[in-house]
Amino acid sequence: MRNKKVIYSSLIFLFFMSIALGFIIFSLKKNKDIKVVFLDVGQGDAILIEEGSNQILIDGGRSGRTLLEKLGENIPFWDRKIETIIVTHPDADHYGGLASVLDNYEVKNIIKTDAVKENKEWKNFEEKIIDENLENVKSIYGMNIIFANETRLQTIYPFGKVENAKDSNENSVVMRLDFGENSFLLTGDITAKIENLLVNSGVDIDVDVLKVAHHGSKNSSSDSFLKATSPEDAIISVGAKNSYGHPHKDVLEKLKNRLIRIWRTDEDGDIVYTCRNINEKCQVY
Amino acid sequence: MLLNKSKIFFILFLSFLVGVFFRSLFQINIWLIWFLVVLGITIFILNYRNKKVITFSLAICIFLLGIWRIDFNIKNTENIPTFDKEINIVVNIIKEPEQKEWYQNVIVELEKNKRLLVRADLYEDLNYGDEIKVICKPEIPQNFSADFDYRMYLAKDNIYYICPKPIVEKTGNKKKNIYSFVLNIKNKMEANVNRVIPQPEAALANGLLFGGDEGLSKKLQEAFSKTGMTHIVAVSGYNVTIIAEYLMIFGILLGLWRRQAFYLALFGIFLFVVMIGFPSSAIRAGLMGSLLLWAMKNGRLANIDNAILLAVVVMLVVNPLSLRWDIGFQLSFLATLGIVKMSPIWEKYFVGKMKALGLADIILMTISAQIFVLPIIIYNFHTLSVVSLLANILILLIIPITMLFVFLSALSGFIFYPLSLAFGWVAYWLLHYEISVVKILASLEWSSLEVNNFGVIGLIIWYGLLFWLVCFISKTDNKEI
Repeated sequence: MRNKKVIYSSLIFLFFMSIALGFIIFSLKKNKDIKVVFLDVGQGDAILIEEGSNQILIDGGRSGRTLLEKLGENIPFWDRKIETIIVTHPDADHYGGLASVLDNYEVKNIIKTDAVKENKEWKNFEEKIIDENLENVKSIYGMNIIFANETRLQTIYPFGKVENAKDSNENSVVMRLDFGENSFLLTGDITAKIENLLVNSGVDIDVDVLKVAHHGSKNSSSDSFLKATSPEDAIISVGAKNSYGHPHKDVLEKLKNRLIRIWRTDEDGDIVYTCRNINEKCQVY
Repeated sequence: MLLNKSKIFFILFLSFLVGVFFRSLFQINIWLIWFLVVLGITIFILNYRNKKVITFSLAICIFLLGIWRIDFNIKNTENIPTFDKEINIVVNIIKEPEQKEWYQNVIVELEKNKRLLVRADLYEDLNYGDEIKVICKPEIPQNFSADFDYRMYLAKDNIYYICPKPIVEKTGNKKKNIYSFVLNIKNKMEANVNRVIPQPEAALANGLLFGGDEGLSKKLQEAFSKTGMTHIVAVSGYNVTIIAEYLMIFGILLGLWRRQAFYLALFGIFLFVVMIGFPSSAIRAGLMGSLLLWAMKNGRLANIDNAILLAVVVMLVVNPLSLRWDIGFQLSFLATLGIVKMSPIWEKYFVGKMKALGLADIILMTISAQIFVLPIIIYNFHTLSVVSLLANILILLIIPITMLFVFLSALSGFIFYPLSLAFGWVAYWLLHYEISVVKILASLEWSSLEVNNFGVIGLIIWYGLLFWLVCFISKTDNKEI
């Protein structure tokens, strides 16, 4: 009988503890840190930008299961809402995992270009967006998302309306994130051609952290682009032993020659930048 | 040796098991079978008044019966005609699709008892009973590694063909019956859990409640197997026993007699098996769990050899191929056997009667089960988890409470969302702890050892020693009485 009493009282204890914890967490909600996480989702891209309980997810890797686990690890457990999802372009290694996010999280907005893919998976994904009643915002050049504390996420490419071009990579959304002194350039899968367009466009692409375009493929990361962006850190979002041979050794060589610190999701796992203060450098974990 | 009824029963049923076992491993010469038939009859005729002789000749017959039973199924798996053309069929899904990380396994019937496994894309919304159009060229499954007989593994469930890259289109909606209704409740409960608990904790939660580690990512699945914890997400006698224990407590709280509560628990187990869709693993778990429960209720854990044997024989009559080609079957049977056979030692020296919910009980039961299943795990997966015992001790104790809160959360999700959330959060912390333990232990470099040359000899030596130990225990036990 004593045994039973112990079990019951511990149940009640846990129950009240969780309620108390809930309150503590809610008061912590006003946390002002910015976190930029390059999620290790295997071969593909998924970037989570988090400010307190607000999240923006840029791309979602290939596998819904892996993405959900990663989100579960990086988003507080009580927060089942993702404010905005951005799809850079309709390649499966960038949107494949997102359908599961729509199933499991409350998503408010989705931002994507007009680019489409002529396959069933993409069609299903678009249908799902309609079913879930999301606000479907097109990615427009110069569109800004401004956070509470002077954090700005700005779309800098595509310049205009996306024609339904064959190469979805060339229509990839490119974004710049600024937080005080810190800046990130998120390049999707753009090729050297688009990189040069950006270099010559006069848009400010000089940043601290560069997400290397197209998982370090040899058709991206041109010299002029690396020079113009002049990052201190380069992030390569890539799966271990992928069949594409990403990242290419020439790209790694180029980065090393420029003394850029290289972070790879296949070797380093999730790469987390925590930014506490607009006057301080973001710290990597 | 005295032959009482229970011993005769034991010998006869064991003969069937041995028959199935023999034919699983060897081609048996038809002349040997005739020889045995003649031998059986001769012995019987010469000496039919002797009880031992009758038993012996009956045992031979039943041994042959076992051979005949499995031979029928093995013959079925041979000489499967190949398809040289694409097929275009409209069929119903006959099992709940199994979601993997990159695809889902859908099972349809080509003709009676000839099933086809269709590997469909994950984004197709497919459910049990749906009518689908399948265009593909069925292939005979290939074994990709020498260790794992994938072809026979599928064949034990009557699956003889596989379509790796089919075109699948849903053409009609669910065929509604009681089974789809029950599955629907299960799926809704899972959705309720997913709504309040994030991944991967939610996947573990659903695995604990309904079985299966499919919700976990590959990385985490590996971590579970490295730490020897996969069994908590497999439907096993273990989680069935926990569910039953809760139902008994619940029944007693409702004011039932212990005996009535026991039947309530049995009914609950039955409902559980139905709910997760009658997979053979659950039926097995249900049987083994019920037996353990029954034995513990009667306080004679050690004396249920015959009941276990009967359960095994019944399962083998239904599906004889599982003995060799279903590792789940072997593990489930051996774990139960381990718990039962080792219990006399523990009860004598440590804890008194087993009740299954105390710390000492859990540790001892884990050890017993592990000793009996370890060789099978090493033989098949070539790994020996060093941290398994530690992981089990750190985790198993709170599994029942975790299951309770997950269940309450899933249930209250139907009625009142905030309540589901509150239960879910408690469950979350427990699940989070469990997953953290698994991850930390799995990340240790020495958490598991690779054992490559264990082989059949290892199996024989290990089980030989166990057999001797068990005989020794029961002998000393009998002497004291």
